[in-house]
Amino acid sequence: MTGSALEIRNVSKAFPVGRGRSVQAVEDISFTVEPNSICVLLGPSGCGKSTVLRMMAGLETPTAGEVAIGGRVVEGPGRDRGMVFQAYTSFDWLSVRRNVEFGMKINGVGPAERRDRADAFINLVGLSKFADAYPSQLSGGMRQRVAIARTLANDPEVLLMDEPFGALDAETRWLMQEMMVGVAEKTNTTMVIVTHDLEEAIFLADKIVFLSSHPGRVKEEIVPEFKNGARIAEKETVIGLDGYAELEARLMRLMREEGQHAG
Amino acid sequence: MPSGRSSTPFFGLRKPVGRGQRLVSAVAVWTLFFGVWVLASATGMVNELLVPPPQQVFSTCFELFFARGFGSDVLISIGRVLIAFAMAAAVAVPLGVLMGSFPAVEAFFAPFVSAWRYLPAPSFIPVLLMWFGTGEAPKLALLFIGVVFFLITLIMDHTKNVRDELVETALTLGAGRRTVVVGVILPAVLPDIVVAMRQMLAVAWTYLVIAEIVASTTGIGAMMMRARRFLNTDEILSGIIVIGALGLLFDLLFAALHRWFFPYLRKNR
Repeated sequence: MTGSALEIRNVSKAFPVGRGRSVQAVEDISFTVEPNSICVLLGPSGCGKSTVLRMMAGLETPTAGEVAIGGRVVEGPGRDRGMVFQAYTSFDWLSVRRNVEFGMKINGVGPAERRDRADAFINLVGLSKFADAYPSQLSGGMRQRVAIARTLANDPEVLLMDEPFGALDAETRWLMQEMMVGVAEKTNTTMVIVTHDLEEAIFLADKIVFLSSHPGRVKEEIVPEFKNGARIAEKETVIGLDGYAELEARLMRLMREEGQHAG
Repeated sequence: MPSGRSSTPFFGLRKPVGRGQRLVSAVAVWTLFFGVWVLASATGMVNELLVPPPQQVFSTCFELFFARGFGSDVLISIGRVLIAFAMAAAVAVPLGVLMGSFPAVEAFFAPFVSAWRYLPAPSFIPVLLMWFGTGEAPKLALLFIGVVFFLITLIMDHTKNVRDELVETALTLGAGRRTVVVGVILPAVLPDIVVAMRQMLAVAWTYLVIAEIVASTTGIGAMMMRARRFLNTDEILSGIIVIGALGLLFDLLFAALHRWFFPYLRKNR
């Protein structure tokens, strides 16, 4: 595959707020996501990063500009762009295995292949022992694992994640982050992850797109050079590398500047 | 009595009461009720013709069932409730789910449905009698009108409460509109639909008794009106007890149905 997996071309989005007035959420955003890379959208709250992600998913329509995947312009949601939300989205009436099979089932994958793929991805996220459990019997972190396995088993070209670990406690969160590095290595999935967690951004990102707030614009694109393009599975190793502290401090300064704008 | 081991006060402010205390309290309140009743009729405080003692009511109830064919009246009443309720559910479930899923459907039906909700169903009795005569039809129609509009509204509201993220997850997995409604929204809202049906079944019983009292020669309500003519208060009270018992029975049945159909809602980790 040549070129970018995803292209965001001069995208703007305004939301109507009644009486013919509207609020500009994001303005003239352009960036690209390379195939098999992890791109992190980072910025203070209110910078419109979730809006950008939702436009990639086709859940919102840009008021100007366009999003393209593999050269095709996005016109609505589709299975080529799987999405994982911050809120739990497990289908409570289905077992873990049937949750993971859901996408394949509605897309006409046969029962045998469905089961094999489901088992493989349940294993990938470490839930083999819980394949027959119902989501209500699982912890929050495990439910997010189900959502990730379900999306990946559906074989999307891009995995979009909207603050996927935001509702989890700190220890579960970094375990999930480490798991995502493993998932990216094993599946070569292109990922776009929205977060406001600096550590998470630096640990996961091959590229960070930093958005400024009100309206959201691309402030800077940052490649964590100190990782030398390697995917490192342990968080403490990354934090111990030369250059980590420097980058975190830089991102903190950016966050503070933007936070002050937002008041 | 609760075991006196701990020092939990009997009237603890927002302190949960133990199993024992709950059981004793429940028995106590009913004992008190029947005690007052027995005492009032035994001492002649109330006219025994208007308020017969409870033991007489229960023996009459027994006699009604086993000597005077009251069972067939009860079966007729149950049949009316179930048939009318099934018809109402057959309309309300699909319509409510569609209205909760598609704002365009809601925009069309909601103004109609909410207007009907405020028309008291019993006010239709005269015109239902004129249209349908005196057979089963006017009774079923009254129950249907009394239940269907509330049921539609309840189901629509529950359907709207299905979280957007579930719908959007299905869309990004490649689901079309039909799959989202049938494969995600419907199963997500089904437990709440059963709860709504359980609530509305109680309302259906209310309308049934009204229909049978006003315009029927069969059923529990008709039996009670016949008894009134002969001042058989014990039979009227028996009817009330049977209606209450049936209501409770159906409620428990629906609760059991809920547990049976939706095992995943039980948290047993």
